[in-house]
Order: sequence, then C-alpha cells, then structure tokens
Amino acid sequence: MSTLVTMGCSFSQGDGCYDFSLGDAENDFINFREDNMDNFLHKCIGSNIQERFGYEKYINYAYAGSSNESQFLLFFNQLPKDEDVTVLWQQTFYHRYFQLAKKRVMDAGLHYEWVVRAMQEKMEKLNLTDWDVEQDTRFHTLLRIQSLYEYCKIRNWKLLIWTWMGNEYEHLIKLFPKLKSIIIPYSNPFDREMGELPNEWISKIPNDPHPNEIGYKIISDGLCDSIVKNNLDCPIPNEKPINKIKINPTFITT
Amino acid sequence: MSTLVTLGCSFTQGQGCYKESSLDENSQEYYKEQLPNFLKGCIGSNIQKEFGFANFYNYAQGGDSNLNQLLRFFNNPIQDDDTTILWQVTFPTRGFMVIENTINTLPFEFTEKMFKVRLEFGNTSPEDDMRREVALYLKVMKEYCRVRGWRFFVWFWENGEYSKYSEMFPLLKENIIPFNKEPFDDDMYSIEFGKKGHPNEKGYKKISDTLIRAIESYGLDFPHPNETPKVMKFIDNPSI
Repeated sequence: MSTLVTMGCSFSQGDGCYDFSLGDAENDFINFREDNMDNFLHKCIGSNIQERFGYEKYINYAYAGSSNESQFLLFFNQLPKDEDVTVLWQQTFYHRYFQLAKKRVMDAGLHYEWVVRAMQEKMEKLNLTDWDVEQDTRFHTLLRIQSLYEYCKIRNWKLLIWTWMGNEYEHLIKLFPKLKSIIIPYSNPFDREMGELPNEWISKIPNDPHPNEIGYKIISDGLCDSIVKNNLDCPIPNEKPINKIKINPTFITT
Repeated sequence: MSTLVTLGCSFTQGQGCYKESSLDENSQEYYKEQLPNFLKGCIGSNIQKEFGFANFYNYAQGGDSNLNQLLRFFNNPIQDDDTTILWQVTFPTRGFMVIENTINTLPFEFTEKMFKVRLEFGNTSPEDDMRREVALYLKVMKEYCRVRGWRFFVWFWENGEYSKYSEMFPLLKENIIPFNKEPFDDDMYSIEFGKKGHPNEKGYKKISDTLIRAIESYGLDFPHPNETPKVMKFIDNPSI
C-alpha cells in the first residue's frame, strides 16, 4: 500500500479552498475556516498529487504558519506507520522559526520583533549583507532537509522537496549539490501578490494570500509534470486513492 | 566491528586537554594544534578504552548547541552498523545559527530575546519549554538509531538535569544515563587565558569514570564490545 506524505505551511494545508455553504465567512471567520478543514484536505496540492499518481493513502502534516523546523519536528513526533512512503516537503519562508511557549508551538515569523531584530543584529554585528543572511537561512533549511533525507534513506522512503518561493531551485542546488536529486525544479507562479493573479485562481476571501482549489491544481500539475519530465525518483503507484488524513499539529512533548 | 559516536559541546570535544606549545594561546593555530590532545583526553576516548570500542568518532564542537549537534551529525552520518551514540546534552539556552554557510551558535542576545517572548506569554517556566525543544531533537536521534538498530544514550552536563528530563519525558528515560558530576579537585581543571577553565584530562577521566559507574550500576544496555581500539577521530565538517 503506497502512502504520500506532504509537509509544509498553509499552502500545503490547502488554505484558500473554501466552501461558502459551510458557514458565515464574514461574521464568524474562525469557525468558518475550521469547518472548511476537510475541504482544504480534499483540494490541497497533496490530494491532487495522490489522485494523479495513485497513492492509496495520503497524510498531510502541513499547517498554516508552520516553519520548516516545526514540520521537521512534527513529522518525527508523529511518524507515519506505513512502509511504502513518499514524502513531499514544501519549504516555506526561511525566516520562520520554531519556538515552544507554554508547551505549545508558536512559530515565529517576521511578525515577531525578535526575529526582525535578530536578523538586523546579525547583519550589523557580523558585517553581513541581506543576501548573506538569506543564504544562511537557506543553508539552515538545507541542513534540515539533509537530516530528513538521511532518515528516509534508511527507511527506504522517498523524499522530494519544493519551495513555495519561486526561483529557489538554482540557489539551493548551488549551495548543496548533494541534494540535487531530490529537489524538484519547479518555480512557483503563485509566489507573488494574489492580486496579480487571475481571480478564478485565488481565494475568494478578501485579502487572503492563498490560491483556491483551481490555483492549487495548477501548482500540483506543475509539480507532477516537473517530476515526470526530470525523471525524479518519485513513485507513481497508480493505486486507487482511498484515505486522506490530516495530522493534528500537536506536539507530544512528554 | 563496534563504533562509539559522541555528540556534545566543548566538554565532549575534550577542550582543556592542553599540551605545552610555543604558539600564542589566542591564535587559531594554537587551537588546531591542541585538537589531537583534546581527542586523546576526551570522555569518549576514555569510554572507548574502558568498554573496548574498535572505532570512536567525536562530532562534538566547542560552543555547539544541541541542534547544532543534531544537524552536524546528519550532515555527515557515519555508515557503520554496530554503533552506539552517546550524546552529551549541553545548555538548552544555546541556539542554532548559520553564519556564512557554517554551523554556529546563536549569540546570547538573540537567545535572550527568544526567552523574553516566552515570558511575555506568561510562561512561568521558559526553561521547561527549552527542555521540550531539546527533547524533540533527542527523539529525532532516538528514532534514527532505532531504525538503524543502533544504541542511543544521553547524559547531561548540568547536574540535576537528568532527573528533570526523565520526569518530563518518560519516553526518553531508557536512554538517559543517571549522571551528576562529582566535585573536582583543583588539579582537574585546565588553565585557559590565565584562569581556571575547562576540565583537563584528569577532570575528563573523573567524569568518564562517573559515567561508566552510572552505566554499570543502573544496568543500562550499554555495549561492552571488548575489542581493541583502532580508530579515534573527530568528524569535523562545519561547512558544506
């Protein structure tokens, strides 16, 4: 039985695929969004890839706001119990950090002052440029990918990587050529302000920075096409898709 | 053929085992010249001899955080089969940072900011959250070792930590060596920059003996291969 696992942030969770019959988006957005979680799961990128390549089971670890490190640790915290596993890890913005506060994960992005200040201090104290700091975050990300890759190798699982950020492929393989075989050469056309994209591709919630199901289908097809075209080591089991499972982003910290 | 791998910070690297040198103590050359002495006098080396591991690889680096060690290991994992990992957990307040493509440790002021965030959320024990983070890293290594059929043990440089971790993370209890450092005599410290510094070889021998005693008295499943030590080396791969 083949299993596809996806890891990533809201873009892999499927945020933006709303069924407006499920609640009151305008006046009760939190519950409306929560009630759409199953819709996200069924219309997200991983679900599309499950259907196209024919994985019997699909498990989605992605959650909104997640950092790459959180995904790495969440995966090891709640490992799949299956044997024939393919992991597709979408890398999110490198400046997001993992932190625990009161036993809960609170991923820290640029909305945390300490993240911005830490980057500024790093540049000032070490006389680094913006580019240097960005390269360092890439390197950090690649070290984490390398760690999961080593684990997958031992399990005989497949691991493939893609980034939400467009034009990253060349930077990543230049920095870490040994991971070239697992990074999908794909430049995401949705890595821009959603307002610049056709309305029919994006979420119908005003100012929502996510694609909708049509947008995610475009991304899924682009990823699958690149995998096939570049002959990457990704199974195409052609089994009948049966299960779709969402992992609750709760870390077991005991 | 048996292999012992150690992970940790300067205390596992063996920093403090200095031999006389004509080089300037502040220079990188001096530090590099001393590395073979660190390796010879370090805790892992003592344990290799005591239990008879054929190979000993030391990944520890001075100043490393716990996450540094995890990522450093996976950046260059050994391929031996019969392996025992011995991870010395260092101060959980140390953070991970990459500086110019090199694994580095987060300078303290950044760590302090992260710490403050936790306090702002009304957390009464941010140290516990840091321990939880460390436990997540340890679990990654535990799982890797399980899949490879390796043994995995953890000990803590700071006294009292093993009991806190054992209590907070029961799933790691079987991997934790119940160990507290015993008091040192004055001749067990090195002199660094004119002051009492890291332990010297005598200090590390005392720590090693205490660890060995803990392993034996608690009946831990720590291998005693009784082979002749053949290989002893640092795995130093800080950059790409």
